[in-house]
Amino acid sequence: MRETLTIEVVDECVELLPERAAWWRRRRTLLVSDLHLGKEQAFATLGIGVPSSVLDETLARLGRCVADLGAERVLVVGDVLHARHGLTPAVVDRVSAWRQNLRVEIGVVPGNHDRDLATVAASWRLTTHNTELVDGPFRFVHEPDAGVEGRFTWAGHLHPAVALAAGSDSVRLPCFRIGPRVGVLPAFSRFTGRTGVPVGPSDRLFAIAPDRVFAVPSPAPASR
Amino acid sequence: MSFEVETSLDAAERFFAGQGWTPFPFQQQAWDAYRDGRSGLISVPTGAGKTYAAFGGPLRQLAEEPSAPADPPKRGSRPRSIRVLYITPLRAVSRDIELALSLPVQQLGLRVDVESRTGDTPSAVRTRQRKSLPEILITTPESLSLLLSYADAPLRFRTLQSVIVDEWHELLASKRGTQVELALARLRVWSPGVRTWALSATLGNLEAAARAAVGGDAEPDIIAEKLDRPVEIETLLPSEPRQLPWAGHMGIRMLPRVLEALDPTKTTLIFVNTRAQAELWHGAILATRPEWEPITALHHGSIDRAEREHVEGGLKRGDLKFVIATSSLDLGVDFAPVERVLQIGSPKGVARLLQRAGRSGHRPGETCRIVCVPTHAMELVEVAAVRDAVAQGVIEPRLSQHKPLDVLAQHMVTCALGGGFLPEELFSEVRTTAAFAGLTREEFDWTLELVSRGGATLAAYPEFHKVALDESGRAGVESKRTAQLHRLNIGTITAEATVAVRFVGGRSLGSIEEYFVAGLRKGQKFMFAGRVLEFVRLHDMVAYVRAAKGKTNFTPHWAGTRLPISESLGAGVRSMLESASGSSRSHADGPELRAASELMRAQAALSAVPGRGQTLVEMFDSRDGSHLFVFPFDGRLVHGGIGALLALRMGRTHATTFTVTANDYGFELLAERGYPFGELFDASLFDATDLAAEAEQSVNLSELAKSQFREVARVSGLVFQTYPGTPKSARQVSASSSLLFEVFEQFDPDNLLLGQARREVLERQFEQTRMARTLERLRQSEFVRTSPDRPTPLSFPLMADRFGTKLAHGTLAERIDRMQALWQQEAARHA
Repeated sequence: MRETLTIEVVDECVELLPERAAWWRRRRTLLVSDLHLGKEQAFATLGIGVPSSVLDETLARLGRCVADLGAERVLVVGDVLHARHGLTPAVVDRVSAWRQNLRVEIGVVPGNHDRDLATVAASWRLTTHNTELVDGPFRFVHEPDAGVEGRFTWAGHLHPAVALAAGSDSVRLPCFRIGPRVGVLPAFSRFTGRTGVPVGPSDRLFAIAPDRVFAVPSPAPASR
Repeated sequence: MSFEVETSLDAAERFFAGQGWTPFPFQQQAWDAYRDGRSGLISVPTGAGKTYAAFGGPLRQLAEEPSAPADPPKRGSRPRSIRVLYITPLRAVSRDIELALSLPVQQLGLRVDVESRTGDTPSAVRTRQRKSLPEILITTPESLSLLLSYADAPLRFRTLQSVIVDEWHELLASKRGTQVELALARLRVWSPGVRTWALSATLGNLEAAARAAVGGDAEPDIIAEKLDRPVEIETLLPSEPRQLPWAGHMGIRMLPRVLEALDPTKTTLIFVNTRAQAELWHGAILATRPEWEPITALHHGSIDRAEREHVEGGLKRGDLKFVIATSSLDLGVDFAPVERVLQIGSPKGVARLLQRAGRSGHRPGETCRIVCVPTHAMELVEVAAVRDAVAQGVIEPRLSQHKPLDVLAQHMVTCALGGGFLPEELFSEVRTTAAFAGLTREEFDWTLELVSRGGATLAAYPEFHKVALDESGRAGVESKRTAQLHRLNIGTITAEATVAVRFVGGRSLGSIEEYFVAGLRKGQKFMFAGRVLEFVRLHDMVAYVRAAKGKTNFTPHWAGTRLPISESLGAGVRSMLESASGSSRSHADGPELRAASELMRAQAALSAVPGRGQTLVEMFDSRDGSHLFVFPFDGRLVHGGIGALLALRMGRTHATTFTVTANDYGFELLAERGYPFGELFDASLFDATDLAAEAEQSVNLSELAKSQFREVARVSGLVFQTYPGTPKSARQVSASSSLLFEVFEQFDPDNLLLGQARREVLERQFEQTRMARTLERLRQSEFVRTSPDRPTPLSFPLMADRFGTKLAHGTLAERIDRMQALWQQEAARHA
C-alpha cells in the first residue's frame, strides 16, 4: 500500500508523493527539489566513502515517477548538483546515459549549489530558467521567501524535516511544509541531512514515511 | 681484582650492583627466562620494578652481542639497527621511559642509542630515524603502525630481538590492543626469533592476556610475583551515617570530611569517576580553602594536553600537592612522589582500585594506601566488597577484541604499504593473533575487497581502491596520495564530536561536547578546566570564553563517562548483602558495613535484603504508575539490557509503553497504573536463548549503532579523520555520522562493518556476553517478591533518576501507525 495525499493551493490540486516529490497533474509536471547529484562522489573525493548507489537510486526513483505518472515535465527548484568536485566524468556520464532514455522536459530553477550547472546543462538536456520562474498560478524559486500576492510559491533548499513523538516513540521524517503563500518541498535525494524547520502558525506539515504521506497534527507532537 | 668480580656478573647484575640494588627474585626469573629465549608476561603491582625486570634480558643481550649493522656505515654517523622495541600506550611517559632505559646503558657504557618516536617527536629526529632506527626505540601503538607502513620496514626490523609492551592490561581489550597484536604478528614474521614481554597490572585472566601478547600457539611464561606490597583500603566515614544520601554520585556532602583529611605537606591524588565530578570537587575545595590554589590542580581527559602535562610536571616536581583527577591519571606519572590517594565514589572495579592505590608509595615494598570516600549509602557496601575482593585476590579479566574488521582493514593498507603482502600469507599471519584467531577466509576476503576495490558500494571511486594486486598476486599501494592519507589517519582513536574551548584571543583550555555548547547562552557561566568561564560565542567549532568572576556549579556534561560496576565487584556486593541478610555462613564485618547497617535495616523492614541465591523483586504502584524493580547487582549496562529485554517480552503478552531505568544495583520498569506486573513476572522472562536477536529487537539498535559506526567507518578508512587541505566543511561532513550510517543501511545493508557496529553496540552498551551470564544466574535464582508501600533504599535511587529510556518496538511503518492511532485518541479526548 502506498498512500499519497492531495492538497489544494490557489485552486490547483497537487498530489504529495512519498517519493519526495509533488505532482501537478493539470500541467503534467513533477515538482522536485534538491537532487544533489554527485554529492556522494564529492564526499568520496574528500575521503568519506558513501555508497555510489546513492546516485543510481536517485535517478531510478525520478525516472520511475516520470514513467508511472506519465509526466511531461520535471521542474527542479534548485540544487540539481552538489559541488564541483562531485562532477567527475563518471558522474556526468552516468547521468547523461540515464537522461538518454528519459523522454521528459527537465526545467531547473538554479539553487545555490548549481554554480556549475552550465557545464552539464547541454549533455543532460536541462532547461535552465532564471532564479524565479512564473507559471500560471505558481511561482518557483530555490530559497523560500515571503512569497508574492496572488500566486503560490514553491521552493526547496531547506530539506525540511519534522520530529514526531507519540507515547514512548519518536522519529524524524522528511516533510513538505505548506504555508498560505509558500510551499517547501523535501529534498529528493536520500543522502541529505534533515533539518528541523521553523513552522509558522498557518503552516501545515506533511510527513513522509516509506509508504505514505500524512498530515502532521498541528501543533506537531514534537519529542521532548 | 675487581675486574674478575665484574666479569662473573652479567650486564643486568652489574647495573643493579652499581645502583646498590639487589634484584628481586621475579626480576632474576624474568632475566633467566629471557636468556632461555622465552616470551611471556610480567605481572607485579605498579612500582615493583617491572620495567627493569623486562629490560634486564635485552640489556644483557645488548652488552653481550654487539650490533650487527643492517646497513653499511654512512660517513659521519655510527651505523645502527634496532634491537629493542618498547611500546607504551602513553606518549607522555615516553620521556620517562627513555630516561629509565638510558640509565643502565650509560652506566655500562654501551654504544647504543635510546630514543622515543611518538607523535611529539621533532621532525629532525624523525627524519634521522627514517634513515636508521636506534638500538632501543620507545614508541606508541600508532607510531609503530606508522613505522610498519614504510616500504623498507621488513628490512629494518630484521634485526629486532625483543619487544616490551607496557601497560598491556590497558591496551589488551581495546582496538589499540588489536593494532598492537597485528603489529607484533608482523614483526615475528620479519624477525622470527623476537621475544615479546608484556607488562601488566594484575588481571583475572593473565594466561589469556599473556597468550594475546606472545601470539600463535607459543606457551608464554607468566611471572606473577605476589610481592610484599600490601594494599590498605580505608574508608572516610561520615561523622553521622545519616549524612550519606540514598542516591547521587557527586558526593559533595562529604567535602568537610575530605578537607579534614587533606594535608598540604603530603602529595595527594584525589580520584573521582567523572569529569563533571572532577570540576565540581576542584571548585568546591578551592571555594573553601582558597589559600590552596597554588598547590591544587585539576586533571581530566578534556583538558588541553599542554595543561595536563604541566600538571603532571608540577606533580613530579612536588610543587602541586592536591590533584583532582579522573582515569586520565590512572596511568603514567610513575615516578611522582605521591604519598596518598583518595577515591571519591566507588572505584566500580577491583583492578581499578588497585591501579589507583598503586599510585601511592611508589617504591618496591612500600604499602599502597587508598582512602575511599563513599558518595551515597550503598557505596559503603561497595567499598566493603572491594576490600573483600582484594583480600581474596578476585580481579576482573580483560579480553581481546573479537575480529574487529575495521582494524584489519586499516592493517591491510599498512601492510600493503610496508613491503606488500600475499593474501594467503597475511591471512595465516593475522590468524596468529588472539583477536583474529577465529577469522574466516570469507571475512578476510571481504575486507581485502573493501580496501582493494571499495567493496560492493564504493567501487565507483578510485579513491577507495587503495590496495592493488600485481600479476604475482602481491598486494601493494600505488597511489602516493593513498599512502599519504593512510599515514595521516593511522590509529584507532576516534576524536569525539567536540568543540575546542579557547579564551577570546588567547590559549586553548580543552574541549567540551558539541551538544553542551549548543545549550549555552551568551554570558552564561560554567565551570571548566578548574575555572569559572563565561561563554562568548561559538565560531568554527571553537567556543570562545572569558574568565568570569563569581561562582557557578554548572559544569559540562560528557557522555558515557560512568563505568558500570564490574562483574567481580557486583558479585562481591551480593555476598556482602548475603551476610547482612544473615543467610551467609561467613559473617562479613567492618566499619563500612556497620555504617551501612541502618540502611540495611530500613531495606529489611520495608522490603527484604536478598540472601544467598536470591533475587529481590519489588513491585508497587505510585502516582507515576506501576513499578517493577529487579535487583541483580550486575552493573548499569547489563541492567539496561535486561530491562529492555523484559519490556519486550512482557509487552508481547500485554502491550504498553515502558520506561526503563537502570543503575548498578538494579533496574526499574515503569508502566501505567494497574499494569499486571505481578501476573506477568516469572523466571522464563530471563531465558537467555536467542539473546542476540531479541536484544536487537528490544532496543532501537539503529540509533545506537549510528554513533558506533562513526568509529568503525573511521578506523576502517571509510572516512578519513584528517584530510590535508580540506575546507572546514570536511569537519562538518565527518560529523554527520548518523547520515552515513543511514545511507549504508539503505544502500549496502550487507556491509560487514554495519554488523560490526551493531555487535560493538550490544557489547559496549549492554555488555551482552556478561548479560547472558547474568540472565542464567537470575533464571536459576529464587525470586523474593515484595510489595513495599513506599520507595526502599534500593528502589529510591532508580525512582530519583529522571533519565529513563522509553522503549518502543517495530518497523518504521508500524511505529507511525501506532503514533497516528495515539494522536487520534488524543484528538478524540480533546474533542
